[in-house]
Order: sequence, then structure tokens, then C-alpha cells
Amino acid sequence: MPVTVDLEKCIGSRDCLNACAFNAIDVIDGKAVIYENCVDCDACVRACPTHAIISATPAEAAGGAILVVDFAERSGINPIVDRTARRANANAAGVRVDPTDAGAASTAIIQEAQTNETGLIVLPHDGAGSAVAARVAAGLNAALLSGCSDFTVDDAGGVRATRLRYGGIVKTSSRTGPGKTVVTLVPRGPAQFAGRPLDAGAPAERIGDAPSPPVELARIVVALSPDLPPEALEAGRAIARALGAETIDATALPGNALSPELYVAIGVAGSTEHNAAISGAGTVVALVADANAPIAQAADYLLVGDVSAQAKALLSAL
Amino acid sequence: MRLAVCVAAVPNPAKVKWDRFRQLLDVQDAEPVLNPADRNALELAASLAKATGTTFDVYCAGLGASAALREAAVFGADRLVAIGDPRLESADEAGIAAALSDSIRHDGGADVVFCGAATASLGSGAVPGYLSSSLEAGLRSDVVDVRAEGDALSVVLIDGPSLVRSDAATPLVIAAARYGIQVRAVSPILLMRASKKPIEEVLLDYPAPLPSTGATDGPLESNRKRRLNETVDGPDVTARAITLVSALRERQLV
Repeated sequence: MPVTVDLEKCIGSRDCLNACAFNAIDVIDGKAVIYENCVDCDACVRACPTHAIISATPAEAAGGAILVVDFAERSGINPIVDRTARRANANAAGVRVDPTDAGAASTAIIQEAQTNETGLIVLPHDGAGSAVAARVAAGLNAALLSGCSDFTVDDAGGVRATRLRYGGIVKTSSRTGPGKTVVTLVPRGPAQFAGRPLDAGAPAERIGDAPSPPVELARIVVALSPDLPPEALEAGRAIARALGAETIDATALPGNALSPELYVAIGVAGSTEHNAAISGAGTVVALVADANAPIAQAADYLLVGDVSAQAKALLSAL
Repeated sequence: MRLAVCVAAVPNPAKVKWDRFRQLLDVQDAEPVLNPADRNALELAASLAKATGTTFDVYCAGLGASAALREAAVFGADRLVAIGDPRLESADEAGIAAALSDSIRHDGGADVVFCGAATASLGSGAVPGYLSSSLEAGLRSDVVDVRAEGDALSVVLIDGPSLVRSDAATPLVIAAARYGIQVRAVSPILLMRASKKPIEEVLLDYPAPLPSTGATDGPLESNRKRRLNETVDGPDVTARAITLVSALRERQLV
């Protein structure tokens, strides 16, 4: 179990229980108990007021070293990878590689992993990440866990991960045995990555801006009610720009379900169809005038009051 | 120049749903269809074939291959190849890639092999990487355009916020980008016409066992989130907004 409870420090505050999104923790006889379905997200570690919950994954279990590969500063696998690296103590190294020539990038990563006897290689599950990871796994004769939302190293030296399937409708717990493993991790959150650059051939010629991804693939979505007053609509669009989010008319959600990391609904009451369509979203924030609006049941965080004023205040706070 | 496209059949994503009473993924009404992301690969192949005056073959391994290939035929494929083998029913991405590369090699190899970015079912996007390894080919990912320039290829791809161009030699495996490619509409009339094209059924000639990713999956569970339903408190609208942003920063969302 990667997360452990120091029973002497635990005061049974239940903060960990409230923080856990996976029902993987309980408080029994005044002490926290971690269950097997813990995905090692560390929410309880952060929530514990007495620091009684500790991340304690053995570094050696990773087979000697962890190599964290990122393609740019923007990908955002760092929050999860930083934690893994922290747990790995020594021997964790970060490298940045240009993914334009995915074959050359794979070769460079394989050489780096062989030089440093790396047991675990982590890449972003984004852009070229999944294709590069598979080629690296094949080149190293390593196991591959692709598309993980989180992962941990178990005591036996294998990797346990949660993977989303069917566009995020379902998830599965996956594992590999001891030995080399390549993991691709779904990026989460904006973060900077300070890895050593790895040579993967000449950089490609930049010829323009990439097209915007469709809303189904956006990391953050801001949904606007078409009934909003103009100043609230403008604030909503400004919030989207500040978050690097895609905007969408809340009354015209796409046919497929949305599963962004963050969904911000501004002035959206939340019909049954709407709420079902966003059930796969990671975190839902709703700015509404009425606390009893249906979206309240589908939201994690609810701001109640004048929507225009709230939108402007949220924009300022960002 | 010989072009090949590898496609997958997936349960119709629009009809896949979680049955919360039986606690299982309900795919009963989800007939097999062409993996949506593979349309982008087919469009890229069709475009390159047209520009170079050549044709392309489409390969599909496993259950539902015929349905996927019929839809792929709309894009103007020359040959439609369905690879059959009982082992494919339980094969993962590494096994599927081995079957596809084995069939492509059996047909004399290919200069460029196109794939979709990922399947709508597993979503791992691993097949292009495994294919490039087994075919000993170069690899480009997130590709939105490819053109022949003499013996080499000029590839345009998405690299984060930028579009970049790079040269590539053959043999090459190309994973098409998930967006940024204009894909033709597949009308019922086109589908009906294309359905007359014969599908070649080939048996996999690959020694047992098929390779595997080395990962073992547990049972599927609903990914429906338990919501916090937390009304943000504060003395005024500014304080509430600051509290909310702090909570989002704590969760590393902003």
C-alpha cells in the first residue's frame, strides 16, 4: 500500500475521508484506514491536518531508477510525476525530448533508459506520447501501461495504474509484473517541467499555429448559458481565455459525453441531459443564481448569487 | 509507393453505456463500426495516394473487421484485408500490431503505413508505436498532412500549440492527428456502393503466442464521479471567488 497512516498522529478528523474521491478511506475507531482501491492520488495526504498520512512507496521497487520524459513545459504530467519522483527518492531523472520525429525520440529515450538502467519510464499520454511509449516499450522489451490517470509502484516492483476506457465512461485497474515498465500518464494541471534536453535530431520547422482541439478533447471547458447578460458572457469568455479553455454553448453539448479535467458552467441550470453529458468531467464548477438548480447535484463547487458579479470576481481571482 | 492503412473495429461509441443496475459496460446495442479516429488516417492515405497516383490497402484485425472495412472502402481503398485468428479475440495492442505488421509484410511490405491516433474503446494509441518497431520503420505522430517530395516525404504535424513540418524517409508509420484533418462524410449511398467491394479474409500466419503489452486489466468499473456538492462560502462575492480559485489550485486544476 503506497499510502500509510501513522496511527499515533491520526486524530480521526475525517478530512481524509472527505478528500478521497475513490471511497478508498474510512475512519474506524477514530483512526484512518486505507482500502485496497486506493489509487494513490495523495488527496488524503494533502488534506490531513496532522500529517498522519504518508506517501511511502519504496524507490527500489521501480527497478533502480525512474525516467520522466516530457515533450515540453506545458504538458502537465508533472504534478503526478513529481510525486512519483519524490517517492523514488534518488535515481529519478527528467528529460525533455522533441517529439517531432517520434522514431528518433523513441531511440533517444531507449538509449537513455539503457544507459541509466531505468526500471520505469513515464511519458505524457498526449500528442506523440502514446506512440513513442509503445515503441520504447518494444525496444526495451518492457511492459506498457498506456493512458493511465494515475499509477503507483507496488511492493513487488510492478506498476499498478488506473486506466480510462471507452472515452472515460469506465475505468479499470491495471497492473504489470516486476521488470521494466513504460507508463503514459494523462496530463493533469498546468506545470513547468525542468528536464534535461535529450537530442532527438534536428528540430522541425514551425509553420503556424496548431488548430484548436474539438471541445471533446479539451482539458478545460467553460460552458456558457446563451441567456446570460452580455457582461456575464464577456466575463465567461475572458475566464475561458485565462484558463486556456474551450468555450461551449451549454444548450448545444456535443453528442459524445464530455470528460474534461475541469468544467466551469456559468449561468447553466443543468438539464438532465446536460448533467448526464458532463458526468465524466473531473471537477465541475457551477456559477448559478439559484442554489436549487439541478446542476447543484452535478457540481463539485457551487457559487450562488448574481452570475455576472460572480463571473467578474472569478475572472479577477484567476 | 505502396501505402497501407491499419484500422480497427470498435463498438459504436454513441451506443456504449454503463448499465448501473447490472454494474457492467453495456455494448449489446453497440454494433461494430470503423474506429472514428481511423477516418483521419484513411483521409491522409487517400490524399497521398491521389497525389502520387497510387492506391492504398486497408488492414483490420479481429472481430468486426468486415464492418470497419466496409466503411473504410468509402475512402477509395484498393484492397480490404480482414485478418482472422482466434487469438486476436484476447489480443492487446501489441498482439494486434504484430498481426497487422505480419500481414503487411506478407503482402510485400509498405512504404507508408497510416493509423488512427487511438481507438475509441481502449484509447491507448499504442498500435502505431508497436507497428513502427516491428516494421523497423520511422514514426511520426499527430500528423495532419503528408506529401511526397521525390523519394522523401514532407510531413506536417501538431506539436503542442504549433504546426511543424519535417522531412521523413520511408518506410514510415504515421499516426494521424485526432483533429485538424478535413474528413469526408460517409453517406449511406457511398457506404452502399463501397459495400460491393470484396473483402479478402486472411488467416494470421504468426507463431504462437502473440506478443502482449505485459499489462493485466481488472474488471471495468463506472467512472462516474462522486461530486462534492460544496457551496463555496464567503462574506462577499470576491472572497468566494478567491476561495474557489484556491480550491482549484489545491487540486492542481488551474
